[in-house]
Amino acid sequence: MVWTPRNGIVVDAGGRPVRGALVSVAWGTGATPEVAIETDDEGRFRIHLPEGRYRLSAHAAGGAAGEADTRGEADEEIRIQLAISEEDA
Amino acid sequence: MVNLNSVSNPSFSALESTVAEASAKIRTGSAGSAASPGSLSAEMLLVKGKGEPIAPPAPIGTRSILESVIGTDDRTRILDTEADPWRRICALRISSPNGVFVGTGWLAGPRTMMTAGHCVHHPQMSGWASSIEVSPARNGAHQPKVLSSKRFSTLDVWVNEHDPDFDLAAIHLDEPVGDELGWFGVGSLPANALTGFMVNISGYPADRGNGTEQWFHRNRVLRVSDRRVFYDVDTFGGHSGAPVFLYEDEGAEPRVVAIHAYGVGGTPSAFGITANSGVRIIPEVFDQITAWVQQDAA
Repeated sequence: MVWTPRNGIVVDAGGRPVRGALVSVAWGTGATPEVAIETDDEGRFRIHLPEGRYRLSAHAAGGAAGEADTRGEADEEIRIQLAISEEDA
Repeated sequence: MVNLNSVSNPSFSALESTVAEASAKIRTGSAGSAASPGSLSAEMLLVKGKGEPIAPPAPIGTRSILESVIGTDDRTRILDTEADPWRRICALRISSPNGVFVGTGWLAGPRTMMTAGHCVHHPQMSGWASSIEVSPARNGAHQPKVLSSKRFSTLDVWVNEHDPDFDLAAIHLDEPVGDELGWFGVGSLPANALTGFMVNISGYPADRGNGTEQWFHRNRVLRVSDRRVFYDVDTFGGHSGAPVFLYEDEGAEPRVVAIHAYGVGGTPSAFGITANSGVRIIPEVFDQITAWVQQDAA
C-alpha cells in the first residue's frame, strides 16, 4: 500500500490554531488505522493516507468539532475548522 | 501459510515466533487480585453467546456506507472503569518522532499489553513509536495508574508491508499490573464458530472525551476471513487496539478473538457488507501472543 504524507492544520471558529485537538479518519475508501493524531502547539498535524476519498474529523477539549474532506493522493494542506460547541457558546 | 516472526523496536531484543497449528486454542484470563465492585454496566451491556444483531443497520440510502459509526451511534460510556472487565482495557498515548497519537490496548498477561501494530509502528509515526503511556481503567481525568513503556514488539510482515491482516503488537510493561487488574483470555476459534457470535468492544475514541473516556458497543460478527473478523460494532479513531471479546455462554469468561484496527474503509468492497474489522486471533497469532506473554514473565 502506498501512503501519501499530508500536512494539515486545525483552527477554531475565529481561524486561530488549536493545540491538542485530535484528528482522525471519520470515513474513507481505504484501510486507515483507527488512531487519532494530536495537533501540535501550532495546531498542525501530519497524516498518511492511501489513495481514495476521506473525511477527516477533529475534536477539541470542550466539545468543539469540525470536518474536512480530502483525497489521499492530493497535496494541498488539509484545513479543519472547528465549530463552536454548545458547551463553549 | 505465513510464518509470523516477531520484531521489536531497536532498543529491545526480538524473539522468534512459533509456527501455526490448525487446531483451535484457548488461553484463560484472570480477573486480577484487586477487589472489583460489581459492575452494573457489565451486567447490563455485555452480550454473550450468539444471536441476532441488536440494532439492525439502517436501510441503505439512509446512512453513509463509509462511516465506522454504523447507522446510528449506539456507543455507551463506561463509568465504572475500575470494575472488571473494564479495568483490563487501557487508554494509550503514543509518542513518536512524528507527533502524539491516541489508541487503546488490553492486558493479555501480567506484564503484556496487546494493541494494533499501527500503535507501535507505522509510516505516519516515521516508524517505531518512541514511548507509550498506558493508562488502565482511565475515566476522564481520573487515571488510577499510569505506566510508560519503550519496549514494543510486532510482526516482521507488519513492519515490512503494513498489511492489515498482520496489524497486531505487544507493549511490554515493567510492572506486573495484570496481577492486580487481571487480563483477558484469548481464543482462536474456527471461522464457522465465530460467525454470528455477539462481540463486545470497549476503547478510548477521540470523538468522545478526547481519548480519555472508555466507550463501549456490542453487536454481531458479520463475516470471518482467514485473518480478519468483520463486525457491525460502532468504533472511531482511538479505538485501534481495543479487544474484540465474546462470552461463549452465560457462565464463560471474556475471551478476546480479535484486535480492533480498522473502520469500514478496511473492509473489502467485494464482501458487500458495511463493517469494521480487527485482526483475527488464529492459532499462529495465539502462539505469538503466548510467546510474548511468556517472554515478559521470564
